[in-house]
Amino acid sequence: MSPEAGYTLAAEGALASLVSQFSSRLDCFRELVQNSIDAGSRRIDVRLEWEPGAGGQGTSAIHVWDDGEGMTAAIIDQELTRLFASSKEDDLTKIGKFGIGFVSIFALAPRAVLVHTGRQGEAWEVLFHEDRSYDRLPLPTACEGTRITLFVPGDAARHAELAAGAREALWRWCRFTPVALWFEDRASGRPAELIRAPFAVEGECPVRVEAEGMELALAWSECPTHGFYNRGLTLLETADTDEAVGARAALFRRVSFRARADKLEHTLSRETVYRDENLARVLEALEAAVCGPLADALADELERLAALPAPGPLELGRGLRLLAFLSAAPFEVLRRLEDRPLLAAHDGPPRSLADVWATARQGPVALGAERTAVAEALHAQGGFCLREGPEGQVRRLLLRYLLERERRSALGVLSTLFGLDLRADAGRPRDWLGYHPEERLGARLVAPEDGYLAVELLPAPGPDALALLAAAQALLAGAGVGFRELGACRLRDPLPEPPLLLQGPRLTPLMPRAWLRPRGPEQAWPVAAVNLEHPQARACLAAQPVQPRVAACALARALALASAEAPLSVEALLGAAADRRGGGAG
Amino acid sequence: MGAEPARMRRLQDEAAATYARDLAQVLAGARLNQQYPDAAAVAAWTACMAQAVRLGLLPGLEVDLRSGLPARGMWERLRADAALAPASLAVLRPLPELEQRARRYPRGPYQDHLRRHAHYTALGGLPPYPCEALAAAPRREAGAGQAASYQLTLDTLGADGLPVRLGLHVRVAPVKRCPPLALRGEAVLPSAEFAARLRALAGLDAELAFTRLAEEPGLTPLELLRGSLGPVFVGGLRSEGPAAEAGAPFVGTFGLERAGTEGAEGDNDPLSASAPVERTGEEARACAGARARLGFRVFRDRKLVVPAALVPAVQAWCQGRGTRNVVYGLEAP
Repeated sequence: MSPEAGYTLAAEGALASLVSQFSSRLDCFRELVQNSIDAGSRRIDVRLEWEPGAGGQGTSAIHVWDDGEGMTAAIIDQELTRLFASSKEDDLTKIGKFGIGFVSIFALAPRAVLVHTGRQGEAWEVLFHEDRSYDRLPLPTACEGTRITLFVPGDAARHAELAAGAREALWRWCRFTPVALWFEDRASGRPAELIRAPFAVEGECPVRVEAEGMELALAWSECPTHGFYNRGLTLLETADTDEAVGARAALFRRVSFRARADKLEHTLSRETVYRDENLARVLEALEAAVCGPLADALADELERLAALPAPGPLELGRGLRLLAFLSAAPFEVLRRLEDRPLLAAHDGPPRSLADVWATARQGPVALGAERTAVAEALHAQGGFCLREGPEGQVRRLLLRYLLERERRSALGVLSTLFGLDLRADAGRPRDWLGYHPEERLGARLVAPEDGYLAVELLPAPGPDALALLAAAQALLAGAGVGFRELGACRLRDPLPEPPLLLQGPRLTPLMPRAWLRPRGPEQAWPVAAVNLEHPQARACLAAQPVQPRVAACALARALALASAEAPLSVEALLGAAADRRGGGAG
Repeated sequence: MGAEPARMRRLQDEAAATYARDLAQVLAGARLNQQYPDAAAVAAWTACMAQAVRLGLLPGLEVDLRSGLPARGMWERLRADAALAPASLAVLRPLPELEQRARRYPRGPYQDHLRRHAHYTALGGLPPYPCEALAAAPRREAGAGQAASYQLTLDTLGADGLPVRLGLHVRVAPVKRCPPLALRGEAVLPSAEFAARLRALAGLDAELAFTRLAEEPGLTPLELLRGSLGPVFVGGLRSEGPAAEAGAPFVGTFGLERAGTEGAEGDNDPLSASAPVERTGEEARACAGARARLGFRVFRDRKLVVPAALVPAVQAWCQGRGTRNVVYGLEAP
């Protein structure tokens, strides 16, 4: 035994409790790979061999060899074999911090551990015994890097289990490392395998973002997973969004990501990523990536799909799936993309969320799974009917966008007008809006047939009708409720209770049904058409040749009742008629 | 008076391809860690040079017979091509169309376009250029009474044609004027002047480089590592030392010098004797003064890759020169 022999591994009790906190004894492979990366290795070989012995028992030899900077005697004695004696503790360029990496190999209960290492002309063999005492002896030949061999007793089944576990641990913890990490179980007869996977995530519209000291991979996903890594070593991988990002979870419910950053750290027990300001910076970068490049990638693909002239079922399904991701995205993402034509229409160009907002402020927004005659007519008069999915995906997205947009818009107005300190998350909207926006906006998202009335405008309804309308219009104008334009029309669709009057900002072959509702006198629409097939209109028309003034007065009153919530009195109309008569005589 | 020996050899077609393949094997066999330039990248770029020769886009692969590695001009040429590759690919027609046109008009320009397409595509898939990069990262934050320290890594092509990696651990005190390193958010950016001085250091041996670094205002060097690739001789090119004496078909040597305030003093480089470091009087005085002032030590090392059968002979040759080196054996490429 050399003069250096006879050291004992320090703090054995602490070791047992520390290593027991690891999720698996085989996690020691992650620790060894981490040490090798910190030592500057570009290649690490993990190789297992099985040496059969007597009585079915034998020895598994587990080799972990690296090309790192190796160790001197001082490093072996002062750092390798002592817990919490790592010189890397405050070194920002290293992953390891705690000085427990190497000793974790004893969790595998090896019969012996042999280490060959060399640095700056020194070359050492260190033999750890079963009781963890060790001998350090000089090697006769030069050596570089660190070559660790564990001798673990057991039978062939135990070896196979060990090999499978080691491989699984390496894939789990080390598959994104930048080093060439090779695994080989010679007993299996299979060739060496490179443990490496591309740093990417599965999902739709994947993007990669490189920021200062970090690399992010993100994609939209229905079953998202989240991972944090330091130089490719896994710190945390989970499908639990709350566990991964805490208070930011809402943003990542449909986003898979992997984040690699040199400053991320693991906890002492390696169970998760350390929650500190470095993690906060990574989360900020992830948030920016979701609202930026990832949202843009989604919009690019949605735009492409929405613009396809004749999409097949696959494209249609994909477009709806992507829209569902957009529905789950934060409102900031929707605002960012609101001017982009993401929504496929049955005829005409794709539409944007901003188009929908503008349309919904004036009337119904048509959605339909099928292309119908009403949808075509709508397109012909400059409107649109959006292509809906079988599960109402488009409606869900639009309702979310419109609600939030209205809520924020109302908040802004209230804050400006009354100086109220209303935050964006203030209470239920109906409490301070005075109405239930979800119901009101929901009612505007309708099938084209439910939202519009097909109308035949009659520019030449006949001399009696023209005279009657002119007289009634004059009476109404005299009473201060006249229309800028009063025409005649006929409904194309039979209704149980057809309206007498159709009014709106303009007359079109498709009139929004919402315009049929009576409005206050000051809100009355400027343009209107009388439904000549309405019983009251028919009665007035019949009276027109015989008693034109009575017919005009009756129609005017009926129109006033139909157009305004506050009806005009007969006296007011008669007064208007008398004035008109007097004026006419004058 | 004899003619001066040729310094370059131009390899054509198959010889260039064989050279690139053999060089890659020797570089891989050396198991070079992060203290050395990226050997895999050097091999990949050399293979691309050989491909360019095969495609007729280069007149040959010129090898510097001092280093056994591609000549400086080859690196520069390919680096320029790589910079132009995206724009050049953009003006070429898509590959299927080029292939179709090349078939239809065999005497037209499309064969040449196809070759260029292959070359630029290959350049796009290469790892980062291995002979020109400077990276800086914080290593230790400022503590009580101590300035922050930084890790700098410089890759360059040395004056002797060898790819060199300089790894520096330096402590930087805050200075008001012309700081060598500036912090921009999380990033550490060396100033242009400091970067130029670092590149000049790469041509010096570790002792003199450490001495010069210590002369930088506000900067205290703690450790300097200088890893170099080569000389590497494959394919019967000129060789020196034990492998040549034994008639080895290839030999690779990889030097590593370390200067630092911690660690051992020594010379474990068997080639030191044949290429001793030459100093001017001023340099020698500066080194001696810096050693006395900073107490740093220098260790020179070298590992070799030779045919497996020659490992014992090469080890013995090293021992004969008073060194004990890592010698990797490789079956003849």
